Amino acid sequence: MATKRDIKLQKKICAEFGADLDSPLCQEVGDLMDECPECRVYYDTMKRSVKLYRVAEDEESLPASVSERLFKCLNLDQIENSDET
Amino acid sequence: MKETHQINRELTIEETPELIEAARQGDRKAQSQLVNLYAGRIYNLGLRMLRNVQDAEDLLQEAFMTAFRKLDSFKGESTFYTWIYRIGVNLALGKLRQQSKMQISYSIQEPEFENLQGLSISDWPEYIETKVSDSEFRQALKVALDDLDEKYRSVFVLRDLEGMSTRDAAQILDLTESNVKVRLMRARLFLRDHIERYLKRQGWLV
Repeated sequence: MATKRDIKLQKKICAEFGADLDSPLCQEVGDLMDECPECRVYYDTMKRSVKLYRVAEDEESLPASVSERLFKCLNLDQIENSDET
Repeated sequence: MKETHQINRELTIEETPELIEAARQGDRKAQSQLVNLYAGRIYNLGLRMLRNVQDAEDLLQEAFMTAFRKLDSFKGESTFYTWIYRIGVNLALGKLRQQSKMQISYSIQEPEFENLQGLSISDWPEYIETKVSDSEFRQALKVALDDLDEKYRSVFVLRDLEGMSTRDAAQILDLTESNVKVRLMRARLFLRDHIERYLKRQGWLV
């Protein structure tokens, strides 16, 4: 018997594959989740892996030295940020 | 603390048609403002795609030099940011293709959900997310991403880290949307398995 969590997960997986929720593919995913708790764990941990990467690979500030060299190679003056255009 | 340049999110200046037109006319202040606006994001794109600071810096410089050189051909159909971002991605892909000729690629085993049934697959404890602040764990994540074959990594970076749509990623990588989805899934599974092996080595998973 599929739990609410299983159904939610099934919808997420189907959405990920771009499939309609009542498509044969989604039906198959639902059946698989029922029969294979390992698959559910595997899928869940895969999603968590992506989240880990989003944190670990978060945007870094541009080092001042890199910025200086960039302006120099573009032959531009480094300006302070302001509202003036 | 390392001295840094403000990244665009903190800026109050915005990209406007007037700013772009001034830059096109050769206004150096306007060009400097565009650099201020977007250098941080292009540098981060380089870091994610090319995996080292020197290549990221080279890409940053090449992207802006190319953009300013070709500014006359910029039609304004997209934002300047979208345009220079695409220049950056294309430059990164060119570099990766050059590098891949000199490197041995890691093969990726085909993930098969059917084979998982009956296997002992551990669920990860809730606290794993808090371990991301651990420098050794971050390094392990970085190494796994470095080890991922370029053709999978590019898709993962563009889709999952840069937030690009499947359609846009397919267009820029010259792939079908189905190929993007397949490669993305393989990349995610490769990374997931690497993380799990690391967690087990650390004793964080039974």
